[in-house]
Formats: sequence, structure tokens, C-alpha cells
Amino acid sequence: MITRREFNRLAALTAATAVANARAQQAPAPAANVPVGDGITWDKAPCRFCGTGCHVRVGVKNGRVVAIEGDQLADVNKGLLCVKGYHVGLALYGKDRLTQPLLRRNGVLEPISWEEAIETIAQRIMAAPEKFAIYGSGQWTIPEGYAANKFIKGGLSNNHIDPNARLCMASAVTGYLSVFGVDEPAGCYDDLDKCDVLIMWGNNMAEMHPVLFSRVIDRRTKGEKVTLIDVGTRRTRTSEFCDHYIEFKPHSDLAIMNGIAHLLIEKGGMNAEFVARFCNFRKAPKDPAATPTAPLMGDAMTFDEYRAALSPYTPEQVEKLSGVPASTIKMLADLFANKDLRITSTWCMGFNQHSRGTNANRLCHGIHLLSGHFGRPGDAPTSLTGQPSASGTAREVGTLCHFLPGGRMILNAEHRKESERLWNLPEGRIHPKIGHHTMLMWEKFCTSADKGGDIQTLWVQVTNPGQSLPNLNKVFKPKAALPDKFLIVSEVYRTATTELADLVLPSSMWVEKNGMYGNSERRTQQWFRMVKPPGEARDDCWQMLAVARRLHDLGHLGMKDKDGKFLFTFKNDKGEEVPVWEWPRYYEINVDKSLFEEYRAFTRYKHKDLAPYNEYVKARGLRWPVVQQSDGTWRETKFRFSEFDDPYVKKGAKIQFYHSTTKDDKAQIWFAPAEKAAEEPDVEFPFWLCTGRVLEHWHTGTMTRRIPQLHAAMPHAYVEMHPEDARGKGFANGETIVVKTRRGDLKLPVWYDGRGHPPRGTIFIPFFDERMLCNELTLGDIDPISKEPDYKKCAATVMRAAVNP
Amino acid sequence: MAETSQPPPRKVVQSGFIAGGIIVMIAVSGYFVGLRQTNSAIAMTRAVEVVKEHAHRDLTGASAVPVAVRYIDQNWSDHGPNGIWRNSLLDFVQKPATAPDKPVSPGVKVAALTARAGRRAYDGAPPTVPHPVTQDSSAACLACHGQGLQVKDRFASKISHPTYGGSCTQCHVSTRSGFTAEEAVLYSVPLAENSFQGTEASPNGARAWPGAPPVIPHRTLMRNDCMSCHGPNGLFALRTPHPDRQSCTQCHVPAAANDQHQFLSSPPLDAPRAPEKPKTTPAPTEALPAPNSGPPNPNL
Amino acid sequence: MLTAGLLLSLNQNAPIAELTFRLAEHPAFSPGSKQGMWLPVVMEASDDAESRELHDWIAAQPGVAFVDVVHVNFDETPTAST
Repeated sequence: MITRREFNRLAALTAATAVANARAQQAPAPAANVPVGDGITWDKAPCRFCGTGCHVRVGVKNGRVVAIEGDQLADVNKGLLCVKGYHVGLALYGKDRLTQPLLRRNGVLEPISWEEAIETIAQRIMAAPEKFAIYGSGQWTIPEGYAANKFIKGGLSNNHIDPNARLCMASAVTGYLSVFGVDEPAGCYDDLDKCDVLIMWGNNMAEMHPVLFSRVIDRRTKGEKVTLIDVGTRRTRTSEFCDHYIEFKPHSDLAIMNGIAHLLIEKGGMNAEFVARFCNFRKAPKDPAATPTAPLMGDAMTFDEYRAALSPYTPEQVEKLSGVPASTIKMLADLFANKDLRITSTWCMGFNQHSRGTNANRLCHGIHLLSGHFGRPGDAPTSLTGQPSASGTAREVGTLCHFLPGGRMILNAEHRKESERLWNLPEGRIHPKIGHHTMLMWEKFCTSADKGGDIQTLWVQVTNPGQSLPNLNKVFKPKAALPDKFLIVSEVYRTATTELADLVLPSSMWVEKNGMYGNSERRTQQWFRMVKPPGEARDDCWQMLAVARRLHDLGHLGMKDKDGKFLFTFKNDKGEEVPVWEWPRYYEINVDKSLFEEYRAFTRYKHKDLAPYNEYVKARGLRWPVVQQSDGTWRETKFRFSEFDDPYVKKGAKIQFYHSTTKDDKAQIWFAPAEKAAEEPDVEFPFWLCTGRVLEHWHTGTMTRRIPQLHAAMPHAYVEMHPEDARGKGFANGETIVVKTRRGDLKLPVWYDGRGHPPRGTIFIPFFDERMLCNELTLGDIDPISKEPDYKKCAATVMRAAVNP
Repeated sequence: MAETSQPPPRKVVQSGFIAGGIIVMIAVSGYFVGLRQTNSAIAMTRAVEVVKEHAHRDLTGASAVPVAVRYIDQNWSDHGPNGIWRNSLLDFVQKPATAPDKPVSPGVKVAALTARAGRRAYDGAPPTVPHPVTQDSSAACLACHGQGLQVKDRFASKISHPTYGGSCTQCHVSTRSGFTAEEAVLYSVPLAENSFQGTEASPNGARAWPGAPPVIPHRTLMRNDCMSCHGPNGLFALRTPHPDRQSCTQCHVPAAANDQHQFLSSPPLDAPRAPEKPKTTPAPTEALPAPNSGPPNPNL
Repeated sequence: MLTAGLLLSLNQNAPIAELTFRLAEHPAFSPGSKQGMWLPVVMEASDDAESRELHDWIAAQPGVAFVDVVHVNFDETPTAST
């Protein structure tokens, strides 16, 4: 018999033990491989994606990236990122990473060894070096681009190298060159902190450069006043934040800017003192065939001629051309006429991917110069880039078919000679004829040899032309039927390009290798390798060096400098040569540093001075010109051509365009007429088709579509329409329809009242989805000066999809 | 004088009508107000306990003497005839759920942390949005997430970084796209799985001794407002048991390993990191074994 | 008389042997067998006030993270054997 007290105690103990048992079982054992917050090594790197150039802190544990954080020490982003940046680490870990070289045999990609892959490439080049081409990228690191440029131009005496940046910012380059005589913006992101007015020209900054956009709108949260103006052809997320949304008819942006210039002159808004002191006037040359550079440099014109040329662009006439009310044109002109305001203009693909892209860039610089809104913090015309190193690698290293490093030109004998000297090459090594630009290169590659297709072997690195080239049915897909053409692709995942590749090389990406990028504001950034690439993936730069070495061993004379030494000879601290073409020894020295220090010698000519490599190790990027001070420190330059900041401006000059094309320290204000688009809607194809990007996906989506968070938010492409256009056709929201142009047709779901709001008569398709390739529809007509294609305007029609697809 | 005291007869008639109208209006509204008054009058005239002269009153305890509220601070609209009216939507919102009055059990806490981690790629990543969002603007986000909101069992957490108040969708994307279910079936096939394994929040902050305030076990960048997660609209298990104390970092400090200001876990910024030998820096050597030289090639 | 079933959650490196010994010695407590990090304990107190004191005492023991009360029995009748 138990006592009542014992019974109570037993009951209490049973209850407590039962709970203890339940807890002990329910408590989860610490998961085996889940990294917890400590023990993480953090290091800096620029983000892998767009041209903004945010710095991220990369958290690494047990040899894997486990976390990402905005870098608070970075000037660009001050601790903030966008959703792509926060998930950039996941781009490394898609389960279908390429891990071994693949060669196409009987139509199937089969694994081969690296030695076999390198040998295959070397033999193809050896057989016909002049029919070899490299298609590179604004995602190449600076040393990668430099090595490729030296290899093909200095080694193979072949100038067929062009980057995808041709599709992206070539018109910005020709704009800057023909206005200031030297490429890249004079201002920087600090302008965004100081401007009173920000005009975004065809630039959906809220989605494409979100961190820069936040940098401006967060000023409002802090109580500052800044007027935002969106000038575009489609209502976007950016428009929602703007004080003014100015919608114009596609391609009429030239008329709008001429209208502003006209009013500035006629209503006294012109800054006559600034113009007289710092500007000349320029127009298209009478004879474009006079010299190869005539279309770029143009002919001089007087102010009176300039004024007369603008006289047709009255507000009323501009309203007729653009659909923008005359009063709005006057409002814009009044803003520019106000000298107390600080006005920053930004633009990106709207101006650049334009069959008159160079002129669009010129006119925008023109209204800033005419009104004197230039050279003070907050007063700047600034083009933004879409790729992390379009500026650093394509523009500065000069991985284009007509450039040599540091802003030198193939056509200039002096420049060739100087490059040969810096590369220690025998005189005459560099071929004097410019190579094929992107569109021509792919056209030649997709044309059989007997019909003039003079590119036989094409090596693609760090880009996806099978999705991003315009009019794919003409410049990419025909490759499939040309068995003698050989396509080499260095990639990290299978893409639309590897579909047609004959040889696929697995590459390291981002923090799996050392690297350097150059962002939109002239900022050169550096990072170290932090994790190991998967499987047998190897650095793109190593791949290039290994092929060069194999050619050297096969007896290609171009692989030797004039002293008979291999072009890429690197030494360690002890002065011993290191055979970095042997992969196990590639990281024995820092190849990036060696290549960068060699490249630095090229950068002084255009005053794009770079600091020694070690300075970039310490910094979160530095904006060139980086000039050494008397105390030995290195100082970056925020505002070029302005005396208060640019050390190359003469004392007392206030503003000096020291690379002026007219050699008088003045910039050029261009006149360019408004012209019709290459293809405009008609009865048969009544819609304007515009293509572009979305916030969640970066370019062709090969990385971002493998990131679950980004994929879930934007799982597939779509065609945006005005709801009334859709209802008029009887399309339900989400219904699959067919979009057709003269070049192809495409099935995809229609979306209205969605992300963007195109006006009536306009449709929009994002290009990130490889299952719905909108570039089978696009036109591919190029700007005659920059050779950049227009992706934003062509004529299309829409129809209901067949019931049984 | 005469003119003003004796207006024209027509005006007299007119004024008479107006005056009459006003009287009728007052009468009618007075009638209805009177009806309503009954309720509040009853409430206001409830019996008050009379303090008897001889009763002993202990005035030493602070709680015995209520602090009188100044008239100006009284919310009289609650007592008027329309006191039961609600003219603000916010009044419909339920009072926030109470905070746990003692630490919750580890199991409950882990469950909450797991739910939290499900919306993040790693601890510190911007959470994804578990509901559809308007695609073209983020203007609506702060309506609920500005101050935090609870409606029935749904909680909207308060924004933890209010100075970034503009473009919410820049960092927070929805897990439910704006597309129809039909489209999702047709097109939403992911390209491939992802094997990324992000760092997770450690469940507890270390305490110097039992009863000491725990240190903050997570990084705090963009998480400036502790009450976003630990306040009344956070997950129950993560709520503070003492919401009345306002200055969190008075007692709770970030763990040294998570300090984002000193960058303790980074290689020192100014010290040259021997870039010539990147194999030894910045990552530990064991994280970077000798690169694979590839299989031997029989052809060479 | 008040009989309570308590559940002690222990710290990672609690001095378990020492704690169990001390509890077994104490007239008001009888420890059960430890399950993982949890120790069930029976507590007896003569009234509410004493139970609070005991609760505070046990919560202050080294190794005890916190104390859950999972079972309480209030027995108004005087304790006697039947």
C-alpha cells in the first residue's frame, strides 16, 4: 500500500519524466553539415553580376561559400545589395556545373581530358591562325581579357577578337570618344548623392541598377529633395518612384533632346560662358568614307549652323514626332536652364542598343554641355554598364577588334608600334587591319567558307551568344549545319551556346579564381580565390595560356617575343620562371598580379592611370586615374576634367578636356537629326517589340535561373501587353500566344497589368529565358558607328496559339 | 440704424426659414444624441465607492495612490455618446499577442528558427516574401510592414531597416510569382537543383553565467530594429519576454565573432596579404587542396 | 501540502552528479532519472510561499538553465497514512 503522499510524488515524477522524455526525443540533434554562424572566414569581392560594382563580403566555411553580406566599407553600395547580389554565392552551386572538358563526337558531347582539349584547340589554330576568332566578354576579368588580347593580337597577328560588350555599351564608347576624345564617364556615383534632378533616359534603374537607384531614393527617406524623371517607352517600377514619367514614341528620343537643345538656345537657357570656353560644335561628316575615323570624329560646324540645324525642333514639332507634350519639353528645358540645379543623367541599354545609339549618346552629352550642367558634383551625363567589367576589360583593356590596350587604335601605326614595344614584339607583328566586330564575326562564322565565311574556329569565353545575339536564326543557328566550323565554349553551365559547341571547357567562376573587374564609374576592383572550383573546372585565363604554350611548343613563331621568349613568361619572388601553363603550378604565383602589372604600363597614355596591384588588394576598388602623391600614397579621381579633383587639369583651367579630339581642350557638342527606326510597325506587323531584363535575372539567366529564390520569383519569360490590346485580341491573362516578326516566331504567355506597363501598340519580352528565346525575333540592325545592334525596336504581330500546340 | 434694425420684409421671411430649419435640425439630432446618451450616461453615473472617514488608508505603497490623469490627456472621445464608434481601421487590429513570460523550450525555439530559415538562403539573406506582391510597385509593402501588423493569425513583421524605405522589391522577392497556376505548370521548371548550403542562425546566444543577458548570436547588418523579430509581431518563440524594455543593446551585445564593425574575422585591411601566395591567404590552406591536374592522357 | 513535478533544463556542461546529490540531500526534493538535457524532480512544499522559495533555490543551482512546472497537486488534507 502506498501512502497518499507517495502517490502524489509518483504522479508528479511520472508527469515530469514524461515531459523530459518527450523533450529529449524531440530536440533535434545538430544537423551534420549545416554551418552555424561561427568559424566563417570573410573576404571581399565585387559582385559577379551587373556593372554597378557592389562589393560583397563572402563568407566561406569548409571550402564552400556559405553566406554573403553587403560590404559596409564599399563606397559603391555602403552595405546594401540587391536580391541578385545577396544570392550571388548560390550561382556557384547549381547541381549541373560543368566539371570536365567535353568534345562532340557523332553529335554527342563526350568527356575528354584537358590535355586532349588543349591539343585540339592548338591544332585548329595552327592549321589556320587567321581564321580563328575569340568572342569574349565584359565578364572576363581584367587579366583574362588582357591575356586573350595579347595572345591573339600580339601572338597570332590576328585582330578577330570582340566582346559581348559590343552588344551592350559600344554606343556609349563612341559617344564618349566623339564628345570628349576619351572613353568613360567624367562623373561617378557620387553625383547620385548630390544631384537635385536625376533624369533616367530609357533606364529602368529600379530593376537593373537597384543599388544605385536606392542610393538616390534613400535620400528622400532621409528628408532630402531630389526630383526623379523617367523618360521611357514603357512604364516600369522606376516610373512609380518618379516625379515625372515622360513616355515617348520609340526612337524619338533624338527629337526630344534636339527639342531641349533648341529651347536652351532660343530661350536663353544656354550657358554661353561655359560653351564659349569649353565647347565646339560638330556634325556628321559630309563624306563618311573620307577616312576610317570620319564618322566618329565628324566635321566642325559653327554655332550659327548648329542653331539653324536645331530650328525645326520646336516644342510643337517635337510633340508631333515623340508624342511628348510641348509643355513637358519646355519643362525639361527649363530644368536644364536653371543653373542652380545639379542635374545628373543616366542611361543604359535604351540609348546604347539603338540603331542611332552613338547619336543618342552624343545628344545627351550635348544638352549637358550646352547648359553647363557638367563638371560639378551632381552635374553629369553618366552611362551605366550592364556587365561587371564591361568598362574594365572591354573598354580599358581594349578587347575589341579595333582597339589595343589603354585606348590605342589598331589603325594608328604609332599605337601599334608602341604596343609592340610594350609587349617586346618584333616590329610589324600587330596586324594593321581591324578585325571583325561581333555581328560580322558571327555572320562570317555562320557562313560556309566557300561563301566568304572566313572564320572557321571561334572560342567563346564567359558569355552566352546563343541566347544574347540578336536575330539568332541568322547569326547563330546556321552553325548547326556547317560541320567544318568549330565552336569552343568555356562555360560553367550548359547554355544555349553549348548546344552547338564542338568543345566545351569547364571554367572556374568568380571567387573560385583570382580576379579584377572595372565598374561603370571607372573603379578597378580586385579579389582573391576563396574556394576550389568543382571537378576539373579551371580558370579561363589558364585555358588561354595553356593553348598559347601548346602553340609555342608546336612551333608557332608568334608565341615568342623578339628575344625568343614565350609571350607569357612569369617569374616568382626568387626570379625563377614558373610554368603556369601546367595547371598544378598555376597558383604557385599570382598570375593576375603579373598580368596586371604588365598591363599597367599601357594605361598612362589616356590618363587612365592604375595603381600597383597591391593597392587594390587593400581597397574596395579605386577610380582611375589613380595618381601617386608626394607622400607615396595613391589617390583616386572622382571627377575627371574638373580642376578641383582631376590632377591632370591645368591650374586655373577650371575644366579641361585634355583629350579633346580638336586638340584645343574643348568638348564637342554634336548635332544629329531625328531619324526613323530601322524597322517600324506597319499593317502586317503592327506592334513595337521591345526586349530587356528583369530584376531577378541577370542577362541570359544561366546563373540566376539556378538560384531557387530568384527562379521562384520570376520562373519564366512572358510577353507584356497593354490590357486593351490583349482584350482586343481576346487574350486572357496568362494565355499562351504567338509573337511573330519577319525573322521568327515564339510562343509564350501574355501578361498584362504585370511588372511593366507598355503603352498601346507596344509589347515587351525579357530575354533571360532560354526556353523562350526572344532573340529569334529581334532585328539586329546595327548603329553604323558603334556597330551595336538595336534590341529595343522592331515590328511584330501577336496571334492566338493553335489549340493543340 | 433704422435700416439695420428693420430689414426688408422679404429677408425677414427668408431668415425665418433658415432659423426654423436650424431649430428642426438641432431637435432631430438632439433626439438621436439623447438616445445614445442613455448608454454613456449610465456608464458615467455608475456608483462610486465612498471613502469612509474612519477607514484606514495606507498611503505609503505607491500603488495605493493612482496618478491623476490631466484632463488634456484624457481621451474624451471614448466616453462621449459615440464612444463605441471606430473611425480608424487600425482600431480593428487585434492587440498583439503576448510575449512568452519565460524562455520557451529549445524544441519550440528550433521549430521557430527552422520556419524562419525556410525563407532565407542563409542567415542574413533578405527573406523571401511568402505571399504574392504587386509586381509594378513596392508602395504597398510598408502599409503592413512599416510598423508591423497582426490580423488574426497572420503576422506582418516590422521593417528592420527603416532608413532603406523605398524599393522593397529590390531585395525581397516573392516565392509566388504573379503568374497563373496554369502557367506555373507549363513553364516553371527549374533549370537545376542547387546544392548551396547556407549558414544558419545559431539558436542561442552565449551567457556569461546563468541568468546573464545572452549575447546576440547573429549578425546585425540591416537588422537594426530588434523588435522586428523579437517584438510583438515576430515569431512567438523569438519574442522578448520583456517587451517593455526599449534599449536592447544596453544589455545584449553582438557576439565577437559576429561583429561587423571591427571585421575581426577578415584579414586586416591594411596588412598586405602576400598576394603572391594566394594559396595561403585569405582562406585556410586546407580549404584549397592542390588543384586537380586531371586524368593522365594516353595520347600524350 | 503541495506536490509539484518540475522539469529542469540543464546547461551543456552542468555538474550533473553534484546537482543530483544536492537535490537528493534536500528534504523537499527527490530527483528522477535524467533524460538528455532534462532532469525531472519532485518538489514538496507546505504552502505557496515555501514553494516559491524552493523554486527560486532550485533555479539558482549551478547547471540549471531553467525550471518548468509540469505537474502540481494541492492536497488540503493533512498528510496521514491510511
